[in-house]
Amino acid sequence: MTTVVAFVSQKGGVGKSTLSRALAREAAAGGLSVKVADLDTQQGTSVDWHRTRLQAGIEPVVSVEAFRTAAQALAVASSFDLLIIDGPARTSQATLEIAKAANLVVQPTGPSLDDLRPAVREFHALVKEGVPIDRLLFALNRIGTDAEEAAARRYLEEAGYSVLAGCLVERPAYRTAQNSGRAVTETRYAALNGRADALIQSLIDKV
Amino acid sequence: MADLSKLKKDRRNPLGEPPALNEASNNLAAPEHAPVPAVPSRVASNESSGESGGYQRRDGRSARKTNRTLAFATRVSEDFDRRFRDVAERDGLLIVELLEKSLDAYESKR
Repeated sequence: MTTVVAFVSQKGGVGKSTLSRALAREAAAGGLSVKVADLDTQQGTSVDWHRTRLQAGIEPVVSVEAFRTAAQALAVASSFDLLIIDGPARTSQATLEIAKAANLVVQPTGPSLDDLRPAVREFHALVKEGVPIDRLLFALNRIGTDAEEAAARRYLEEAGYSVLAGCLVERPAYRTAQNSGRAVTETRYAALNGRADALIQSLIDKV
Repeated sequence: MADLSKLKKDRRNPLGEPPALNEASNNLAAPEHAPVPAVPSRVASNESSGESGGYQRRDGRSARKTNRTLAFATRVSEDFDRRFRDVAERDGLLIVELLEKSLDAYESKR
């Protein structure tokens, strides 16, 4: 049976593609057949990243494909062990469609109130539409300090949602890795790879 | 040293309270793809007049043109240019006004 993990957000730049790629990379390395469905056809960031990765000959090969609609992406799910939906920087009727079909819906967020408040409102909307709350997870990204992480985590938990253990810290090395077609678990720094891996592992543990 | 942590008041999160459930976003009602920006009304009205058979001259700048007037350029001899401007200046007419009168005169005598 196919597992569907969706990364959604109303905002851009919060880490949907970053986490999609990392999860895909780890799943592919673990021997799963995995597809990343890039639904942001206007930007196609994961498609571009995939092209860069292929050109650089980085293993394992991760399959990324652009889909215009959520329904088209979900239609191919049965062909894979894991379908990862890299959503557009916008929530819509399609977000609800994705959330109802997905095993897990992950919303990455930064630690500022400008990120956290709208993120909570988006999950509230899914809950009101009947999406089980235990399918909804937050992932913390662009964290500067332990205190910042703790405050953001507490804020989201007080709103009633689960937050993945671990976080992605704000480091240029993560951007550098992705610029060259690598995932955030494939930087030049073992400690950063370990942090990213811990976050992805906590996500896998939730499936 | 004694552990006094139990006596400390529960400190509030510096980020404050998260939004309540009744503050959920309305974005789930939005269509999957953002709507394409509407064609400016003046262009739309021009297009509709075109469909009804009226003359419609279009180019790449149509979207920001009022189409109230059109550019009209041609090449003339120096003598014609001098005569035309002399008459316009003498009679206090714009070039376009003299051109319109010229066309009217031509059609009325043809």
